[in-house]
Amino acid sequence: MKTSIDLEKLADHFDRDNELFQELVKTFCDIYQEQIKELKKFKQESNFKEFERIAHSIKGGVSNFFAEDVREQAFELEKMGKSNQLPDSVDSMIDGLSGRLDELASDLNQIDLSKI
Amino acid sequence: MSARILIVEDDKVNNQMLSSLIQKIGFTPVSIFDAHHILEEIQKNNIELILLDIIMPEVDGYEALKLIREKYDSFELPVIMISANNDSLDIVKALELGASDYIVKPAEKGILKARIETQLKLREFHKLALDKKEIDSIKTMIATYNHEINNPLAIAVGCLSVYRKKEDKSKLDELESALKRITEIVKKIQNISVKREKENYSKDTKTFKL
Repeated sequence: MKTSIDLEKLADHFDRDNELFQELVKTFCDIYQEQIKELKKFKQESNFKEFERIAHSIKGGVSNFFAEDVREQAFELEKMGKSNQLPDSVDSMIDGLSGRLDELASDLNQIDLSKI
Repeated sequence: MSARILIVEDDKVNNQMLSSLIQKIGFTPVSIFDAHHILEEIQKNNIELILLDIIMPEVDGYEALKLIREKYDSFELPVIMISANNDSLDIVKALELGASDYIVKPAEKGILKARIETQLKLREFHKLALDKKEIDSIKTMIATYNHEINNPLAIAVGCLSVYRKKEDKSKLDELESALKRITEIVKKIQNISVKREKENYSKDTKTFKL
């Protein structure tokens, strides 16, 4: 696995309900790419509040899957939005997060909670 | 029928997760993704408790909480704030605005269940306390009316008795006056509605003004 998912915590959180887990993974996969697009858009517009909100939302969604490293990346972007500071380096941070979310999606799709 | 819990959360993953958790712990979830029409949703769905996200677009959780508290106090409609932030400033702000409790996401099932059940119990106890006060108020009202009616009734009967013995017509005016008083009191009984008035109950007022 490419991301640091805590499988035990994940299984506990979902009560080993693989059906629910798969539904949430699907929802996550359906929305995260759109969220990345919104981050880029709000960065372009210097809309700090909306940038913060989207980063916060990504962080919140990821927290359900106990991938702490990915969650931290989203949190860093959230803090930047909150401090009204979006330097140009944010672009590569957004790309970095996007890549990590792709990896997370890939890892999640390989997990079967009923086997943990 | 299980309690209906309104989930106000803009993130689809978290909304879905909360909805599933709420069902698993034995309640009925009602999900919305923004707080624009929150008061209508509360009324339409007979909501008994709200799980309210803080960071949402346009109308955030704090604004929504203020709207809710203008109409419902914390006993009538408990609101548990939910957030991915564990910042004490956020928590304090929410509690000062009238939140009943605060949970950090991702919500753990046992904690969520305990917090919701506690708030629903408090709500139920408050309703029972109001019912008891209402009954006490009705008893006091009955006692008051009993006295208020008996007094002019006694005068009316007395006047009639004197009039019969002495044909004293001046007693007729007194009789008429007493009967009018009784008529007015009966009208007041018809007009008084035994609605619960929170401000009167909070001040522990137990009398009805005649």
